[in-house]
Amino acid sequence: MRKIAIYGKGGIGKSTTTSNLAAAFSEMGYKVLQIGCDPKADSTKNLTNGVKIKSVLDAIREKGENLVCEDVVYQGFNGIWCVEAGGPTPGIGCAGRGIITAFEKLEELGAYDVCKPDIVLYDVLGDVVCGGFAMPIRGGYAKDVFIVTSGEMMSLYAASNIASAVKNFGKRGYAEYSGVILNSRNVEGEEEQVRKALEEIGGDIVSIVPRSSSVQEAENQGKTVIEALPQSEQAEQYRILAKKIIEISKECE
Amino acid sequence: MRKLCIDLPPLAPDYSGAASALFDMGGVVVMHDASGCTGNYTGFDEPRWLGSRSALYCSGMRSMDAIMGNDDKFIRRTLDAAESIKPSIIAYLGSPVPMLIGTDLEGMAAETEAESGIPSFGFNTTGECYYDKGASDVYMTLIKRFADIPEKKSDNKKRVNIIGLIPIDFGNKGNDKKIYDFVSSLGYEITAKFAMGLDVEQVRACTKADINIVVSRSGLDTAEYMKKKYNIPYICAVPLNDGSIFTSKLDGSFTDSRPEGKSRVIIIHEQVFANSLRDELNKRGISADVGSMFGLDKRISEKSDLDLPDESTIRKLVNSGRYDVVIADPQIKQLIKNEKTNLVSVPHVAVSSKLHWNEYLDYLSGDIENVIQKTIDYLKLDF
Repeated sequence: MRKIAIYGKGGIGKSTTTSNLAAAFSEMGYKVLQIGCDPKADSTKNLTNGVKIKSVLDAIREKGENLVCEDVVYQGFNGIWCVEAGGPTPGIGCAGRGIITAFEKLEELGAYDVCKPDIVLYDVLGDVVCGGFAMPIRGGYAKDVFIVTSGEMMSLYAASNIASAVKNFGKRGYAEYSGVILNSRNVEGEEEQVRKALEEIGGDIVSIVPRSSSVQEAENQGKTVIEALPQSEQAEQYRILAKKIIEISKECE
Repeated sequence: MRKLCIDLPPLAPDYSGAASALFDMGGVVVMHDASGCTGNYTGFDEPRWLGSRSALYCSGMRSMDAIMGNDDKFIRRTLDAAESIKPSIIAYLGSPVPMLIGTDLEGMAAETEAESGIPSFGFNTTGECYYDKGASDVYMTLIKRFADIPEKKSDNKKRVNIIGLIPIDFGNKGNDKKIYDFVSSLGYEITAKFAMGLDVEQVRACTKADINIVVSRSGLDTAEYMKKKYNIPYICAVPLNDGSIFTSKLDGSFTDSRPEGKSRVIIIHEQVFANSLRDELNKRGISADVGSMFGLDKRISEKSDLDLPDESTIRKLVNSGRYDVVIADPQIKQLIKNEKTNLVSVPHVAVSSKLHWNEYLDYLSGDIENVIQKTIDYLKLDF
């Protein structure tokens, strides 16, 4: 099994990248489980025809102890298993604690045994701001962390913070930082900017995903590019990214 | 609010159970809290605390620690303590605040072990569960870490592990020693004493046992695990009175003799103890139900046994007229308003903590016979 966490600044395209990766992996014959770890609970939307699935926390609120795995694990495009951790009402509660509770509940429900995935993708909100958002990289969860970034300053700043947080936890046996995915914004000298930043951050560019209108076109249909426009150049780019990630990421139990 | 205790004290939580299970291990145990949880354990759930040398520390967590994390500070302090004490193990125990902020106690333990070389553990106790879960997590974790791979038996010795013997259930007036001596007198060598008297060497050797004796529910998951993993069978029983029922369970000759008819007696106590006391009553022709305030484990309950999740449920039950005799901790007496219902006191630290731990019954003596006789007397009053 491969367990991969995708981090990056808010709005940088993590969910788009993760969903397209999931779709590309599934085309390659892998069984994939994608877990959205953002309180907005919209990570997997493009794998389920634009329809938001019920989050783990919403299901706990509704069903309490009577919750079963089928209440929170849904199958989307090409058999990809989709889960959304969910979160509290905006402005109250504790989103980080919500992630922890959702992860604990998934374990308790035996979700991994039900899905039996070859690849688990954790799509994590913005930054490692607290213990809850570090949960996907803790022992037993993701083994490899990839950071989505553009050449924009704030995005690279966030990437630096995430990478150093991951490295700080080295002694704990957490996940390892495995490189960045350059999700292009067509900023001038973008690749150069990112490579320069990586001299300090460390790691390498795994793959460059060009900016393309096909992403928007597919999302308007509630689909990934791989599903909506499988013959497109952009779909091919996601397939290349998927192959690279398979090469880099580690097999684990 | 249904869980609110109006008359009863708060029941022993998971961090107390975990600390109790680790108490004799010769380790450094750090309870990650502001001090209330540590104080609750040392002052109210641990009769061995005063005068002991057990190295239990409170992390002294403050609001800024909760905000900033400050794991490094706590790890450093723990390492400093470990340097002078040279403990066998190091353990971090959680409490409600670390649970809420998601402190990674296992991660802290991994860092601590990397620095010190001392086997270190993080137990995710939260204060939301009861003591038996905390103790159970400790037994399981220690076995998974230390237990030797079983070797082929090279002698004819009969060996047992005793699992679940902590003062929260057995008090600290000598029941541990008497039970160990009694089991030894039956010709068994005790390989590991989980947990009063436990050390790392015993945990290593525990896979040599021919049978596990579960003396409280905190030992049940561990016994199940060892049955699956090492093919070691187990029994659930506490030796009471003259120990004859226990002995028959251990040698496999026990036959259940539950009397017919509706029970007029309920035993509200730790489930394995309560089941053993029920066996003693059954032997005298008295039927009894068991009620558990710590969740009813279906694996060791009978159909008529009751889950008593809160004080109000107990209050309703003991005043319903359904039972003539309630065998329970003395604190339950204040809930009984029905004049026809009689309480026979059997203290339980998990319920009344220090209020009655000096009145603990001697399980292998006439104390249990007195309980039986009082029950018989009360029942006769209504015959």
